[in-house]
Amino acid sequence: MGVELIDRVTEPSDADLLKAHRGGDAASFDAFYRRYRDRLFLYARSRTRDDGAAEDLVNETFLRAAQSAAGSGSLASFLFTVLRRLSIDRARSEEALRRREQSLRTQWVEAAAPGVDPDALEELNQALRTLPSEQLEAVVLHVYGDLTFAEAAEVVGVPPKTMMSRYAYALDRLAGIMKGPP
Amino acid sequence: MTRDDVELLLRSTRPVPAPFLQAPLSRARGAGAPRLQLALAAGFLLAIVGVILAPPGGRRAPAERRWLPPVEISTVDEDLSMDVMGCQELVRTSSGAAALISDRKMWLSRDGKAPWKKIEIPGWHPSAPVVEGDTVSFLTLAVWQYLTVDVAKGEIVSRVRLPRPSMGKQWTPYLAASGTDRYAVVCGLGGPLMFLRSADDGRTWNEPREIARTGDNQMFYHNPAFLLSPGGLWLFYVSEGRRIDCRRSVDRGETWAAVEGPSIAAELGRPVILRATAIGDTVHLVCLTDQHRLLHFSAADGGRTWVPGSLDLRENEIGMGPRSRTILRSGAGRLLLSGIYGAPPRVSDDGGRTWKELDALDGIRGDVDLTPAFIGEDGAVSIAPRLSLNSRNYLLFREWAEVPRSAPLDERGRRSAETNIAHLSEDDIRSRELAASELVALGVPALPLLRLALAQTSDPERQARLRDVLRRIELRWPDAQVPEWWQGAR
Repeated sequence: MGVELIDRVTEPSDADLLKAHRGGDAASFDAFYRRYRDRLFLYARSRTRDDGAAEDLVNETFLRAAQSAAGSGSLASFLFTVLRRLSIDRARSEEALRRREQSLRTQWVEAAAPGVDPDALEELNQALRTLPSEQLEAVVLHVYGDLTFAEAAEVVGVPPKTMMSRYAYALDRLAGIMKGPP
Repeated sequence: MTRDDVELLLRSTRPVPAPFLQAPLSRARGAGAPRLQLALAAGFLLAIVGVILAPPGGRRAPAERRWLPPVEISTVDEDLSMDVMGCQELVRTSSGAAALISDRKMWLSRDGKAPWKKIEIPGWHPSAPVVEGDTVSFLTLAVWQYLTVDVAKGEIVSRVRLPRPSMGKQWTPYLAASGTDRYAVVCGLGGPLMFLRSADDGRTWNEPREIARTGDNQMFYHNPAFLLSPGGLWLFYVSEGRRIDCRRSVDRGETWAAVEGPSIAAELGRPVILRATAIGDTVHLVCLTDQHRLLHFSAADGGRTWVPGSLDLRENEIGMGPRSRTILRSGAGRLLLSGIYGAPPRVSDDGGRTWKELDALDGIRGDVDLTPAFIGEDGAVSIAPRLSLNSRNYLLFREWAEVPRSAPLDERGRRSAETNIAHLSEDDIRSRELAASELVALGVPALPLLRLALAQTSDPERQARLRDVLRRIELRWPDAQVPEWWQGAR
């Protein structure tokens, strides 16, 4: 955890990376891409429940990020907002509906540190898929997207308190589904 | 588990790595190469790798069954102008050898791959063959005989002349076998249906005798159906009117009893062509009417009750005619319907309740007008489409076979494939060509990546480039000209 924190402090900011990319530094976009790809992919998965569609969404989001200025706000919020809008557009297509049926069977989350019970992890992966979309979105944006409730609420377009309650409901629901250690 | 426990667990996890850009692209080709596009394309490929190479639970992916590339049996005009106008029967042996039996000649292949050997045979209008090991036996007319051919060796093993029945012009022979018994029915243009039997593998035959009679002018369409099922011998034919008549023998053809066939509603037309097969005790009958309707019936109770199936193809979907000898076959519990002009074969795995089109003709250009087909004991299907293209005729063979998934690429190969597929999107033609040739060099192991990339892209240009590489690997035409009848032809 400490190493990660140091990395974050010493790494260039998102804005610096994008600026360098627009200045012709290809490697800076790679770094930017690596920084957000996993979180965005999980969010895209939670929105689409379709790996293929999620990949397309993330790609498209990065393309938009590369082409657009994020403004003065949080770049993370900007990325999640773009992805969310794209996912709404995509959800309207029949193709998306069809493919959604072929739900993901792969893991969504993995252990971030040693010592996580594999059974609990498996159970969590299963339980996440059973969450209503709004609650899942709250978990993904807040826990895995590293967004504050206010930022997550801005992405989704709801009041921060709504986002907080969705998150709380999600935890309750997950707690109800997951049995825990015998 | 409490809410706090859940939150703690959530906080101790992270998203699984997205299947994008697991490693940076190390190659940069072309000064103007769109870096972002390459990056995204590579990410897309890594996603594919994630799916293919790391199946859930680490299980090895099972073999897949798919249509192999077609091969040419013949493109010689004299082979295809007159003779193919007659009957054709396609057959495969247990060892994988294949034979296409036509009027006065047959083509043989040890393994279904090119080249096919042509041998002359006396006689025409061959019956459906009986397969034993690598030999196929069948009847021919003009020279009324029982012919046995070793398909693997490519030679005629034996010819047995049959006693000539006292009838008018013979038109259609039928053959069935059980143990050392051989049963034959030959139909004449005037309507008689004559039955013969051999009890010694076809070496000697008894005298033919008439067991039924069809209506006048019915025989031209090879309309009867002859079948050996666990329930006995069956003979279906059309007499006058719209009735399907049936004779059944449960004593090896000694006696024949009349069985009422399925009735057809007046608006569906008169029955013209009948074809039958059996799956276990259930007899399946397909009927083409003069109103161009194709109907399916089945009976599991010795023909007392005929149940209509869902199959009801209409005029624009069928085109069976006198040459359509191969219409209904069965194997491994699967029904196969073929011989429908211009249409792909159909199969049913639920006894005819539902039918599915096989994409057997995908990639083939030209007008397909005849598709003999064969289904093996394992349910694998082979077809021999005959097609016309630019005033030329082609006779092809294609099989739907189990193909073991190739060994996955090693890390280096995988990286190379990912990178090169990404480079297929480049604007610079030399870079694309280099990428294509490197992918071709990776060969068959790169196919899953390429096929998935093709399936998941909607960009027509990218699709074309991927197809080109697929063709060069899968069809092994890297340097030679692509056959005109294949969609990859320029």
